[in-house]
Amino acid sequence: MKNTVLVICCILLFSLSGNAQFQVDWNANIDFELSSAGSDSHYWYNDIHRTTLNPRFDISRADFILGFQLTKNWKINTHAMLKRLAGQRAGIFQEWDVYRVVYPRLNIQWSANDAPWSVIVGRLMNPFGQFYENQRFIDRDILDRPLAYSYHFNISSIVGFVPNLVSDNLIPGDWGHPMLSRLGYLSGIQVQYDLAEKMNFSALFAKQAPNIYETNFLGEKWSLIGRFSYRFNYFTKVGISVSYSPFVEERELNAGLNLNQLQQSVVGLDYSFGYGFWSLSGEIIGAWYTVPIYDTEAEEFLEGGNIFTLFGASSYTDLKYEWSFLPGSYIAYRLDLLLFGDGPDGNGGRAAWNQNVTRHAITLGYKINSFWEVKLSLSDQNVEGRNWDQSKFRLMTSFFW
Amino acid sequence: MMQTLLIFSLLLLFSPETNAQLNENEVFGKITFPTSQQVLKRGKGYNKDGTKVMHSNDPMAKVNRNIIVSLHPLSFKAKIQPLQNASITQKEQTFIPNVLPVTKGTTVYFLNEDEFFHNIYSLTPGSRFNIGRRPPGAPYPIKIKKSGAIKLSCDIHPHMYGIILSLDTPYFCRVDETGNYRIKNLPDGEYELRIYHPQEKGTTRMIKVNGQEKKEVNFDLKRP
Repeated sequence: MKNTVLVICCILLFSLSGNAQFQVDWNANIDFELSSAGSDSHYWYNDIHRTTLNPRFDISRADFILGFQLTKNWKINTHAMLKRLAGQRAGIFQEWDVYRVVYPRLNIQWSANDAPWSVIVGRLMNPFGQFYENQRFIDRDILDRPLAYSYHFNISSIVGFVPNLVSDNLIPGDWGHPMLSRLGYLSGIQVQYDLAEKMNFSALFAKQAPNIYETNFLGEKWSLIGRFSYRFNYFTKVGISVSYSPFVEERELNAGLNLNQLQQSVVGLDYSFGYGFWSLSGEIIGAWYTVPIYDTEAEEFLEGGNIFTLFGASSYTDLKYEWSFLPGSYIAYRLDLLLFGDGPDGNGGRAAWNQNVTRHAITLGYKINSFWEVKLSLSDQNVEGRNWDQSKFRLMTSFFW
Repeated sequence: MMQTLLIFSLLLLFSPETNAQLNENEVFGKITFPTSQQVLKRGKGYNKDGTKVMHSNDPMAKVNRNIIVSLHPLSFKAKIQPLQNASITQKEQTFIPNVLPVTKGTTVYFLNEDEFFHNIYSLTPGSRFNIGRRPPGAPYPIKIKKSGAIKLSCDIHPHMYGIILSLDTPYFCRVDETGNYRIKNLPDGEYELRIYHPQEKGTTRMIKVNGQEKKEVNFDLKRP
């Protein structure tokens, strides 16, 4: 609330000052979706809530983006998003309370005069990887978020590693997290350096772990996220991202643990290549968790409360082809993998600490005109050792301005 | 045979196109356009390649250099020929010029002068095309088959916006930096004078010229 008042005051001040640089940019979009999914779907695994498996038509999301160019150096960026809570039951046409307005961006940006530096303070997008760069559905070739950004696995931000979270469908709100959070917004301060569109460097200090939704829960602790990208030539770009963060919050359940030791480290390599009507892009991500093991039945930490390092990896590869004979249309395919190494099994032995996941997704898209797009998406995923039906059908139509 | 030749000669003599006299009429004037910056406008969105949003300061990207004046004959049919060497350049994530006037049937070449990929597509009904992702270098040709305003976009940099104004008349020009225009060599006859700019569409006026007339037609498009 204080942030909002501050932003409004700044905007009024600059707009009333008769500043010739003052300008307001706006973009908006609204997405409607018809979806259905397999019987073992769950929002934490494939974005479809278990109570909404049958075909339903609804508003999926809406975005309103406003940019206030205050002076040559100063700009305020805002992004309000109407999002469906946990992909829940049939929504806005019946009930408003399944929607919430969130603010992925609410920040002030300073750019140096004739220099490649800029600094952003406030709520901003996580610079990790290349997925968050395309925030809206209309900017994405594949409708689904990659597994690394959406699939919750056996990690809790309260007690660390919980062996049977996924297989037992135990996941409540604070238990089970993806490697990186779905929406990707964080609060903090970011420094950017951009050299002639060849080289870009970003460093973000955030009061939030990049895999957790809640803001400012780190207390006195900070996360550090950095990205370096380089364009080899006009059609090949690679980026390297790193993230280091404490991610376990202080609760009664973890009293006695040294929370400063419990952390997540993530390293990512992203790439994009395109030519003519083809493009290829993707990311390879590795994540390390330094955590204890917790038994939910016994309600205690196992193996003497010792701390272990668990490793998980993820990669997705997107291949897109635009049909030249039907301008405005394309077909895109994604191969998405989530793999886990060995971890303690709680009995002194070792075993894979989560089931591996493979997902195939295909999207057909067609832009009807400059304001209207339709996308059809089919996906199926396989969780190792489980005979789950987590297939998914989505037909989305987006209006954008 | 003689009869056929006679009929053909008479048809040529009295056809509307040849009846128009090349009396070198001239229409000129000044178009006053608002110079103040738009305070509220559609935003730049995100660049899909992660590059910073750019906008060129090239004069041909500015509002006052992208006003096109065209004269459309009403009393005769003008012969239209495709233009040679018509091109639009993508530079600093900007279409230069923003508005390119051509005659119907012209082949327009798209050039990329940035250090990164560009795409050009159009979703204008009847003129839809997509040239895919293109590196700097080789120009890419597209033949313009229909008349009207063809909107251009870049899929990689969604804020880019350009227009090919395909005209069914050979009588048109771009205003100069001070808003002046001049169209020469006009045959006698009646015309519809049209002014085109993406922010100011639909301004027209009927005019008539004959006998080596030099007619001044001014417009004030300043908003109230």
